[in-house]
Amino acid sequence: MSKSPDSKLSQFLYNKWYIDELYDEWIVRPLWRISHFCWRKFDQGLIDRSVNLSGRFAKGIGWFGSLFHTGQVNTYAFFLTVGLLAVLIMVIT
Amino acid sequence: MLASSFNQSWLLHALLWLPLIGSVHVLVTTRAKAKMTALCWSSLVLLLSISLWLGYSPDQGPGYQMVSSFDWIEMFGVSYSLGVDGISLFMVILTAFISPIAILGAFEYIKKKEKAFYSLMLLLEFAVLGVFLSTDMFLFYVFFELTMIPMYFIVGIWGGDRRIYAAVKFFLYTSLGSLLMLVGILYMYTKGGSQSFAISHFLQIPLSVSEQLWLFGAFGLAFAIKIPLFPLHTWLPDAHVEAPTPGSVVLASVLLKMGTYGFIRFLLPFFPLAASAPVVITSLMGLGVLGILLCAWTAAVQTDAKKLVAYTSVAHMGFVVLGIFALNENGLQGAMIIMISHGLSTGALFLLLGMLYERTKTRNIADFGGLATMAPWLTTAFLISAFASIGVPGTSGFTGEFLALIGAFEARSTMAIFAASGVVFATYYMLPMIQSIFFTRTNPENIVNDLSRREILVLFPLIIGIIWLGVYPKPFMDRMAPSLDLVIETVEEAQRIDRSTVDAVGLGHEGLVAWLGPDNMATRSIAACREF
Repeated sequence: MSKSPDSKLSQFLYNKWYIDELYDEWIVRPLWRISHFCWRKFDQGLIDRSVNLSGRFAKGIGWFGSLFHTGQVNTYAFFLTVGLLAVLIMVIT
Repeated sequence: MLASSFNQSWLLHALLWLPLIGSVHVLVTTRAKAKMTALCWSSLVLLLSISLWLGYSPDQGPGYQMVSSFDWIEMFGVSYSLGVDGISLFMVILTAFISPIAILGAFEYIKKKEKAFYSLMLLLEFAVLGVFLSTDMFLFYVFFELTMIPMYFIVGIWGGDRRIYAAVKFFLYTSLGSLLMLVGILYMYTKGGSQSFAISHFLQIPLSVSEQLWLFGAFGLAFAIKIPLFPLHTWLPDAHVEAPTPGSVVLASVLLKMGTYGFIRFLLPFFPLAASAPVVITSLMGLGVLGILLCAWTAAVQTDAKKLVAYTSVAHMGFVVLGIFALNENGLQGAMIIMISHGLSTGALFLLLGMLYERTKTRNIADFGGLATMAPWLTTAFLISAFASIGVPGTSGFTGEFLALIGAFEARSTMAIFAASGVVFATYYMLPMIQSIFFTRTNPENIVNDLSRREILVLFPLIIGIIWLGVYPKPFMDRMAPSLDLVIETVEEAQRIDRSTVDAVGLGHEGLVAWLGPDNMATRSIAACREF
């Protein structure tokens, strides 16, 4: 029984049982996708972001504090009065 | 005996102080002479470290050798005391070995403010040697903090475009951890009667299990950031990418080892019950395995070659932590060998990437191609270093990872199976990079010269070290084994005592509470059992 060279079986054998293609599809590509996920979403998106957020949190507190330092003497005088009153109230009660 | 140890103790003082003297000397010399001066001083330290290797005798037992101690701040029991044992010996030699190599590797790379640069490199060497040599917690802490300052400037002044971000991130991240360690040190100091900061004194302070767990956390966080242990690692890729080549080399080869050294030197012997608690072992080995796998995957998709190597560092350090918390001889020896091996192979890889950067002004993997035909020796050196990094048999990486995996398998076999797959993933990140840099098609824009004589001199010792450690690691293991065994014995002894207290339940629960205190883990677990 002779088969023509482009029969399905010979194609299948010629392509080495498509092992390389299967390997590529089932192992290489998923691993590549996992790797990208690990880097972009997990390492940069989650871990590094939370690291930078903690930095920004500290900056935010500093910014909030800086709001009270306007450079205008009457603001400082106002806070001085508020502070004095607070101390006085504490001393009295 | 006493006379000989006295005679030898000068060696440690000389080792420690010579880099600092050199650092000052570089500052006062002329700009043209700066690099040669720095090289001479660091080579002198290397010579001394060779005599340290020869003078250290493993037969003298596991304890510190060449000990010498002077009072520094008598009021608080702070002393300037140095010593070396089988664990610190290799870290000292590694530091002394890497420093002249990094300095010689900087000759072409550093073009601005050379005097300041070489001075800071020697200051860094001084600080790191201090970390490994000191046998006093206060002295240790001073040096531990001091290492950050030269590194901060090296990254911040000679670094790449985002150097300020990287330097600040490095500094804040690592100092946060070490501040907690300071709290831990001070707690132990007061607990021990506020007499002395000596390590030998700290070892005898009785601590309950819950105290040990808290202190383990405080010390452990500082070291885990330094290592860096996943998920505290994100400062490392940034610092590595932005740092100049010699900075990366010292950072990877030496500075990271301070963290793992701290694990072996302090965490295990100081807090044996915390370190051997099953939940601690499982979680730390788990973090090690996560670091190995996730960072190997992350490394594989990097486009920047330096960032890729930086992520591989985290993966390697995962193996070290895995080996340490196996808490057996194989595991700890494997961890130590990986520490040395990583210092050699990753140092070599960073140097080679720096050499490629000097030639092509790029670190992007896709920009290279076909360099093997133009620079065969450079390619050979890169291949050997990369194989050591993967852990191919015959290179240092194999010895270490093999031992660490055996140790881990004895302790937690599932973890070891996952970790072993990390070796496969190491090929997954390393080989494609090698292929696209050195093989495939040639990029006609890149004309790359082969290694110069200076570069051969830089790489040759590292390659010799890689192969020596891969083929005949016995001289290393003989020297480190007694000290590592002592660490394991300390942990096991503490476990035995703890178990015998638990066996004393004959006392009854109330008696046990009176004896151990209500916050002892044994009393609490018995209380929990009763409620149940």
